[in-house]
Amino acid sequence: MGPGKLAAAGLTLVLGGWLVWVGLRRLAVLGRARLLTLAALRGAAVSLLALAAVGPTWQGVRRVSTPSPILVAIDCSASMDLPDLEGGRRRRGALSRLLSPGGLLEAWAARRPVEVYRFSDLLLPLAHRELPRGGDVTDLQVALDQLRAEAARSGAGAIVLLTDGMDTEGLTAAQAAHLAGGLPPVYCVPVGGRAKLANRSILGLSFPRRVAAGRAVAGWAAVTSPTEAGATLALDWRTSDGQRGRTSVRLDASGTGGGRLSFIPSRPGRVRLEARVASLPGDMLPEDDAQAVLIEVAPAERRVVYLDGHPRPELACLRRLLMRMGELAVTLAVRKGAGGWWQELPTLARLGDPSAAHGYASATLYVLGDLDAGGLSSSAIETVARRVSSGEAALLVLGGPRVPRLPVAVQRLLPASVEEYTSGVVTLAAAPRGSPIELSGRSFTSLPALAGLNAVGPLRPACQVALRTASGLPVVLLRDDGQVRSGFVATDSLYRWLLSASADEASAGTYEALWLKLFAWLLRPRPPRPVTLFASRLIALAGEPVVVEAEVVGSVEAVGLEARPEKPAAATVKAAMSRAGPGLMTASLPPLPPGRWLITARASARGKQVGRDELIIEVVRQSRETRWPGPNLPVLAALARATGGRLVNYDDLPRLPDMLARTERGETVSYRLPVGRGVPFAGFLMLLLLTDWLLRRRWGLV
Amino acid sequence: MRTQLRLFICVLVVLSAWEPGAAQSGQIRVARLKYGGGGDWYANPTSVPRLIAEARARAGLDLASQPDIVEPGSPRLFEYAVVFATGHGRIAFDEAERRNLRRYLLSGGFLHVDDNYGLDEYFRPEVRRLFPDKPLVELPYSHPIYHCFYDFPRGLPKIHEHHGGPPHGYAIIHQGRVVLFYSFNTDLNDGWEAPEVHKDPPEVREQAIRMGVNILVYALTH
Repeated sequence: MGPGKLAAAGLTLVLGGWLVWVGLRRLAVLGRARLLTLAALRGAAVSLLALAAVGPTWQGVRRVSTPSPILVAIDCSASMDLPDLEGGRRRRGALSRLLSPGGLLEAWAARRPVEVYRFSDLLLPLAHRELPRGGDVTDLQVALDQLRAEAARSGAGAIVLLTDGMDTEGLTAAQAAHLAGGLPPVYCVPVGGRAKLANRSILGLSFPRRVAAGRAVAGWAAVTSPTEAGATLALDWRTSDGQRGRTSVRLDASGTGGGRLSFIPSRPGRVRLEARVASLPGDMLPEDDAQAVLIEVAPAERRVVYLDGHPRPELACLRRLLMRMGELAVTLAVRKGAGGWWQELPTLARLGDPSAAHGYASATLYVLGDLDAGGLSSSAIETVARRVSSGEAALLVLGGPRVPRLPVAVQRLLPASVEEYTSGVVTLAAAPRGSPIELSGRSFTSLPALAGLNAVGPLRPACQVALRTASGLPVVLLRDDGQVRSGFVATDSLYRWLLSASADEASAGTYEALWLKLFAWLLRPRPPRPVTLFASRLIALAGEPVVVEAEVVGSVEAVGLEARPEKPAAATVKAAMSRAGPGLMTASLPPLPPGRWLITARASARGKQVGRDELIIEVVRQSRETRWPGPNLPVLAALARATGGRLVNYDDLPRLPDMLARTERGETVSYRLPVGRGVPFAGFLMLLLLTDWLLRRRWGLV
Repeated sequence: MRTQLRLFICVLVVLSAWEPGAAQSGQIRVARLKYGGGGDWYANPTSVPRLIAEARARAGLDLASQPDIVEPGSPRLFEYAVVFATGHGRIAFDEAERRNLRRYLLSGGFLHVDDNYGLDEYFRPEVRRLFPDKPLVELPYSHPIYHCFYDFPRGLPKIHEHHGGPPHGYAIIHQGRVVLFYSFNTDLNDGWEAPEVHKDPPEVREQAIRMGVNILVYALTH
């Protein structure tokens, strides 16, 4: 009880006491009946004053009914920017008109509670009456799930869905009907028109995955441009090995057509072919004007490129042997001092640079004879180092005084580091058993001595000595670590086996047999890669899944896939590939953010990694849902029908509140009624006091 | 004067013969052929050393600076990638020399014979005995020996006039490769010699040197 109430209670007691004292004094004058009347009147007045002082309240509950709210969900995804409405208006403009001050939604809100949301990949309240641009992805399932929760919370009687019905994941009508469970009636307002969109696009490239170098490859490009039916488009293409061309594509009445592309891959390895059509003015999606594929090019022939640092007998003898090996295509280039480089085989011609030699970039074996760093240009070195280190070619280096000064990039590919050349009589021991060049012990030991030898450093991993001198020094060293395959012949005078007084048929035969075995070992077919990645679309649109396929050899049990962004802004995505057929696995990565992605496949067998492969996929910003004009009516109709709602034309939107089922939501409300407060209470008190005064006046007490 | 010149030549030949092992590590050795029959195998003593020096400078050939002297029947013949022969008179091989020289050439060696005037009538019969199964053929101007370093679109250059007519280049070819090159009616060795010996014009000597470089390059690349 507060001080006010204490004061009121005190005043009531004082007043009550005074009334009792006055009554007792007048008892003799008034008589008992009149006194009791006055006492009752004044007792009632004092009681009312006491009630006013204490201030008690009356608590109660009652049921109330209000109109249920409408949830309005507006699509703000990228597809809302399509200008397919009449007069080329964009969908977003039509929706923004609803939100403007004095617009339709304000009119609705005057009649019924309205809650407004926007959605693309998520559903969010629309705080301001402006429709922001959402993401490239539309996820209708997420939007409907969140609307279901909001409807349950607010008791919404209806949902109005303003959308084109395009779902990035490709929601079907059946799936939409399945999502309708638990939703109030959904009134779908399809947004979008049927005006054709200006959009040139390469739908796909169809090329064989594996081809042979030097042989023509033909493929097919499918092109579409809905607004150019009957037109002829120019399709430009280029390959990663520097070829380019243009072909014509005639579009049919539906605006689609195809063009044939043909080229001749120049070298083994992987070739990336990219085709492109020029963008239309106002092209909806310039990002899909290009598409690219990877083609695996196998060597068509085994080409030996032999570069020698200077004319010498070893070169002359080896040249004659190579020319007799009919199954090899041979390019021989030699540095002739101030005369620069000359290509001796297949044609005698001056060369500005050895990398310009015939077939230099497509060799399956590089033979470098007594060359130093000054003898090779950086481009020539880069080609050799890249192709040998990637396993596309093998390397054989012949000894001599200049070899210790070979470029480092080439040196590190050898079985051991090469050191200084020392002249002297060198006799050989038998090749060790199991050596790739093992002939017979007698063949080597009885051969004419060599004139000198390069010392070598410690053997690198996965290397072996195939031939030694009688004193144990390495003469022929080999390396095969699964990727790099190379050899080093530490002498420059094997030709002595041919050009020697003691030479006989056996010497000549051994010379030939050694080189043939060396070449055969270096050129032997490589086992197929455990895993080879392919993607039919190297340029993917943001929001669409990235499909990757892998060819695997029999022993591979599983292939793990990892997509790593070139810029570390996005997270790495991992997936497991599933078997799609004999020797074929496939995986569909979730839509990746825009940027370049390095896709790595790791093949494993018995719990160990047995191989890996990589490719790069470029994800360009845009959503595939923006490619087609018009709303997705089947999905919207199925959704409306399944919830008891209906399709509503955009033009009928002003009448929509009348169409909605008039639903009320019941609510129990509690209330408190104060006692001893208010005008009636005060009036009643005044009436008591007035009656008391009138009676006393009549009785002559006033 | 003639006697002094012969004495000078003999001294040079002896000096060059003293250092057969002068080749440094990895260097390619060439030799002059000391043939029998009475001809002056030692003619033009400065020609091959000067050619070697030019070839080293121009074509980067890693040749020993001085030629050795080798007999056709010697087992040392196989140590030389290229052997030169010239002279004015009779050239003859005995059967052992023929066998040795033939084996040397067929197993990868190379012999250049230069007619210094008067050699031709003895050399041709000797070649027929050396290679009874292989004719001495005249090389076409398109042959790599005329183009492998310097271009000689019209074949051998004419260096010294002994008798009229154009020079000719003949060859014994084994498995597509020239193993013996015979230059006739040009006298390349005259052009290779020091300028003061024959006093050939500089442009003529240059042509001789160039053709000599081509012969060496061809021998060491084919």
